[in-house]
Amino acid sequence: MSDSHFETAGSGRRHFLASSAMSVSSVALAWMLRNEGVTADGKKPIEQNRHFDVIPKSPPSRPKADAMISLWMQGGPSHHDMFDPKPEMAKYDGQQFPGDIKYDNAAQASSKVFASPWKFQPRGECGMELSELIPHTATVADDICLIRSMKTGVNNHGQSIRALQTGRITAGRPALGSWLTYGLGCEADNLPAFMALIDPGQLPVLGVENWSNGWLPSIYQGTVIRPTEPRILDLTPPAHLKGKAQKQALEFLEQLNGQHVADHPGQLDLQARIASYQLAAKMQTAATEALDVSGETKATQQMYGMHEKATADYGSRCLIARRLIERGVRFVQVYTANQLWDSHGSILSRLPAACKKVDQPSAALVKDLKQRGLLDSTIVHWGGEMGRLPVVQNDAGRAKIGRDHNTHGFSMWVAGGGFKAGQVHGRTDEWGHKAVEDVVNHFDYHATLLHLFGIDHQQMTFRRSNRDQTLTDGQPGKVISGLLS
Amino acid sequence: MLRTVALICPFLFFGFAIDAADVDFVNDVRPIFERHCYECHGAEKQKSGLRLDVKSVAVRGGESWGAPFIAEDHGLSPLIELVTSDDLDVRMPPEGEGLSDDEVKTLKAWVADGAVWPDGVDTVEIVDKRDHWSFQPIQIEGQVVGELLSQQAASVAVKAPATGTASRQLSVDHFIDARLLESSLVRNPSADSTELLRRIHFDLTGLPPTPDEVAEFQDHPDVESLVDRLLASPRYGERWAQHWLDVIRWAETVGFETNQERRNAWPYRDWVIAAFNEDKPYDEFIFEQIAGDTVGEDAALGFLVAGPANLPGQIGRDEAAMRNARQDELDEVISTVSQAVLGLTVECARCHDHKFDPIRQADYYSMQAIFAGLNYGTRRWRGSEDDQWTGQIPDAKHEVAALRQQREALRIRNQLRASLSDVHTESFDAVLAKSIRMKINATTNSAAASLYEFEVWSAPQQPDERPVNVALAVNGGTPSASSFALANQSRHFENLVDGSVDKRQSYAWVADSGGPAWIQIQFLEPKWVDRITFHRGNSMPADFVIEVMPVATQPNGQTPPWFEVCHSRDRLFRTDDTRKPATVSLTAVSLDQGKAISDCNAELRRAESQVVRFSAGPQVYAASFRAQPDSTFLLHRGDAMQRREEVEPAVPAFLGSIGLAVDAPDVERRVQLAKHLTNARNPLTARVIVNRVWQHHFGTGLVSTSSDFGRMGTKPSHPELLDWLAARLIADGWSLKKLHRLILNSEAYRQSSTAREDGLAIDADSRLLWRHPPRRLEAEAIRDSMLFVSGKLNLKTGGPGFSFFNQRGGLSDYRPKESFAVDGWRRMVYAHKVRMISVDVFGAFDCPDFGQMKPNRTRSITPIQSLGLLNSPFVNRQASFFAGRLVAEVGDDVDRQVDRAFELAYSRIPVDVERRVLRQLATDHGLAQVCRAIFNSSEFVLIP
Repeated sequence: MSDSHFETAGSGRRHFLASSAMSVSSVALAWMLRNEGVTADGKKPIEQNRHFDVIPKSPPSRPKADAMISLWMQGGPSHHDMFDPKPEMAKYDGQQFPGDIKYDNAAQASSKVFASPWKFQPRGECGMELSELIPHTATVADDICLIRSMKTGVNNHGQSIRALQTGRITAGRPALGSWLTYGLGCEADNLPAFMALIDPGQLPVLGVENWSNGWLPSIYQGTVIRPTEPRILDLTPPAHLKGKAQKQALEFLEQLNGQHVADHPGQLDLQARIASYQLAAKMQTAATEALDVSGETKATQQMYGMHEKATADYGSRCLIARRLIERGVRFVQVYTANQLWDSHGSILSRLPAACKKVDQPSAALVKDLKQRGLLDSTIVHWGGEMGRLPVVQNDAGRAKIGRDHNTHGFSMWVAGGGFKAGQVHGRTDEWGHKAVEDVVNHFDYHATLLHLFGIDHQQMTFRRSNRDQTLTDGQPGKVISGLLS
Repeated sequence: MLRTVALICPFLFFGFAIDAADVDFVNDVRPIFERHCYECHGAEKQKSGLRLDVKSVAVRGGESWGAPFIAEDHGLSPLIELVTSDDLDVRMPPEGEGLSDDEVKTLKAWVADGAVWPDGVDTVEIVDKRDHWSFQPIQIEGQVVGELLSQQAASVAVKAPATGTASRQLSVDHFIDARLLESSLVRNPSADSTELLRRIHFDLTGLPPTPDEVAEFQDHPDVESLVDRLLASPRYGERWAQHWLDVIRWAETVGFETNQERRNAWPYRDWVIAAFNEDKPYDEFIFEQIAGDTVGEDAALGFLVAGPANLPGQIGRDEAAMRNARQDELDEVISTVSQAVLGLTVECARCHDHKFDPIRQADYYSMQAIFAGLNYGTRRWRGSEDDQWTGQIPDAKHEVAALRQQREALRIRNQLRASLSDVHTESFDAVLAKSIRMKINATTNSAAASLYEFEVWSAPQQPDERPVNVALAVNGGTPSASSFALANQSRHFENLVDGSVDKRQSYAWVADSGGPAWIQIQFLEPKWVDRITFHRGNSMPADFVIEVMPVATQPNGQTPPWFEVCHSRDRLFRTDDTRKPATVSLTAVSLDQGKAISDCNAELRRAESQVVRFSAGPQVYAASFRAQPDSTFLLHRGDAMQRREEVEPAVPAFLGSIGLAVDAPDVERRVQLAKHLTNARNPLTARVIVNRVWQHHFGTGLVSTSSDFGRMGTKPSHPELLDWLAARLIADGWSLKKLHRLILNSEAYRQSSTAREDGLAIDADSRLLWRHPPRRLEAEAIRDSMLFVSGKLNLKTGGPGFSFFNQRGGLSDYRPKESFAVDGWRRMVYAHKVRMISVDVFGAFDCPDFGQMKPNRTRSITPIQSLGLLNSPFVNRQASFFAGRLVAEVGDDVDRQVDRAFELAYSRIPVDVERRVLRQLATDHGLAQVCRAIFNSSEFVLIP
């Protein structure tokens, strides 16, 4: 695939003349130039010649999914205690672990087996076993696909986050959402294509890297939505300028800029700037509207847990995510606070609190998308960068114990968009330490995701430093057919 | 068996077994090689030095066998022998089934026929990685500049070429026009004088011209004197320093999860600004950043530690983690030096030889060895302030001595024993004890009680017995404590008796909160003890009692009570004791006397810290060095735990040798590197910097990958021009200001930016410079220009930066400041740079977050930019100031206000339609709205 990567979709949708946006004539000009560049000497045009946009594009294959919401659980949710029951471990609870453990922090490690203190039981018609910590997720067991054999195999947060968020453990690469918007554009013409909904606490580990465009052009970077009002800084003008004043100011600005374009023909950037003001102007109302959940019914708000302190924040952000997807945004990621799930100590009190925060909102999102008929075409992802170990960490009294990192086997779930509903995929060993059956590496997950979007992971490329870069970057990613409906 | 036969009588087989004429290398033989050999003897790997996919290399053979197909002397074939051997240790391929009989037959037939490998059929070419344009000497019209060696000689070559073209004057335009001609293009005519004036102002200072400067230039459109004047302006260094700071991702926080502030990093920024303003020769500029300590330029060493580096406390104590962290630290240094100065990605050779450039893994570690003595942190900042502080040391020491005497007098007057020491011993009458405990009633700073170690020494009962620490866990001591701090074994009371006080290896006990606490040691069996020693932990005990539980001696058989063996209440309290006098209980000391001691302590603390401060001198965040660095080893696959051979400090071998011994002292390593980098013969240093300067005048460098001149970088659009500029730079004594003049005085630079059909069709990016490529201003220039035009720009130079956030570092999320006072209206180069956090409004304009080196900024156009410029409090406030300035300067007439606004912001007066539009806006919504529209307009943010 060349840098043009996809044909522009010929549908009757409104084109997003976007962050990138150009007037139709300038888009045509850019295409014409590029095509000439290609045909003249048969080589690819030099980098600066390329034109980038977020006009919606049809993928090469028929897609199952056209949007995605990722619920990003940074820190490493304890799969032993939520998703991956190991009842046999109860017999060994507190005894010496018989095998080898890959520790992250040997100084605090113990080798006492730590059987989950929480009860599991089969849920839904499919009988998926989930723990009592996530009773709401249990109610959508028949809609989700639980992967119990995730693996990145790199033992710290930063690297494993990069593996799952950007395809490789090395820094500086584009996030998944950037790749999707680069490849597919955005259906909305009044909202950014990739939105990052951050937590009111501290940013997740790696901060802005989580939604960075890396070396992709900056129109593919995630737009951060603040956790509290104002959700977008400077989205609306100061009070005295609202309404007619703003409208008129924008009109005059467009005249001023229009005059400038007229005096400087042939400069694509000038058209793009005008278009960016057009989008900004639309966002003032569209983003304000999309980010405002007050018009949702009380029933909907309650379904997301917005009436309760523990769930109000995450619930409102999940609801916003749904509203954004509904309005044509391609990729939304909803973050938890820095290391919320990093249960090195006090897991008995901290893990239930973390679950309480996200369980109801996450399940509500799946239900809500389903009842609106959006789940079939929207992928929902729930997971973090790692799981935990089967042994005690910080053996300083029952109240203080925890579990250390484990990237060799952990769980996450996906739903909608062509993922098989109501099934459990893969298995960890008898201790839940290492994925041993139907292992899903981060690159397999990415290959499968792109497949559902109608894209071959090796075919969506970005030319950089004379190499065709891909999300999976030469790693042996496979589309995992067992995950597909 | 076969092997023997082959050795004895190859002829038999080869002559008769197969019809040789049928065997073709391409169709028959190479596919066998592909199937069985190339995995280890192809492009990726060449085991034993054997490579079988390229004829010229294949026929030479590998290390152990020589010519592989037919040995030269007697016609034997190692190839056949190896693929047919019975000895599984010898047979090739070493794994799997080996070759089929048919395949063996084919090879034998091919060899018998003379192993014919036709020329020109190879599908791969051997590339000499050194054979790359940027590694060749700088040349002008065929003459190698480096061979002329001296600057004088280079100067001669540059100004009067020895070839037949001597009469022709070389210039920027000469090279640009020649290349345009090849593409049947011509340059645009000159830009109009206002456009040119604005372009030069923005390029050199990042600010627009004032209306007076516009008028002046229209009267005297003398570009050369304009350029001279702007190069002499302090605004020039402020503008160009940021370009360099981008390249090396310099920032004032550490990055990583904590992102803590690096205080005192700003002197480096000021040093860079001054270097540009003073036109410090570029070779000195580089030398000082690598070895500035040798010439009294300590702040320049901020260069080496510009990148992110994790804090020791975040790394932990695991050997592998510590070694890896050290490797990461040095990797940042290698990236900085090699990319910034050489335009090479040496860091790519950390785990294996560079895939594309002639940089071996050993070269990487040799370069690391140059910096093996380097540490991140602060160092003394020598200079006038340092001298002044040094002069104050004697007085400060005198004051300390006087206060110590005063304190001693107070001790004697109150009959107190000496203060407690950090490692403190108390002796008492020997007692046969089952347990011992220490009750800590208070600590010197009221923090939670903490000890590293607690020792209890036995009292020998026999002449040949020696005292033993009976508290030690290995000697049977069992510790307990009132509490220990949360969640972490690193604060557990077991640490009290682990026998280790090495803070890198072991931990302290820490109580879970302030206030009274106790620890207790139970002995394995009753012990005669007469002495304890404790090692302070995170806090220092100030008030304690030691008690023992003796073995029962009471006749009634009751458990004996604890009894006190010693206490601290008759000791002078420590200088660092900050408790309120009223809370300190000392035996037989009045409150007044307690207060006198406390006051004296406070004075002494102040005086002592002053001595420490004066003695250390002013501090700057910059690299510091150990004189004799540790050994450096090549690391297998870059794994810090897999050391291989020791390497000597060196530059990548393909660049030459700098003759350093494996044990050369630190300073010699860096000085030799710096000399190598700034030697006129180095093919990269001059090319790389002239390209960077070019890039900031035209938007794109002659080499568009301005920090990668290796084989993965792009080729120069004008190679001869690049070399000529590099040679000129050297000839001109590495003066960057002369280089600017050379470029800015060219017609290519001064031409208009108007687009033309023919130019767009052939060269849409304007790389050939048929026009001056217009571009958007960077974040800093947009912000500074706004302040400049509104009249609020604060031109204060140097010193600690202002902040865009309500905090300067740390973990929690950054809240942008919405309102700035005068200090916040300084030029943006003086902002405190927080790594990885984007600043409000201007961060959206591709302002790097200094997480990675940024040799060229992207120039995106996004709606978030538009929203920021439209709606942010900052811009609207500046628009109001701008409006206020207009009223102050021209009064209430709207047309005059609009005219003046255009003069200030655009260096021109409006055309009728513009005047009409803006008059309407001003009338309807106020003059500030006109100003706001102007700040948002394309004309305001573009370099024409």
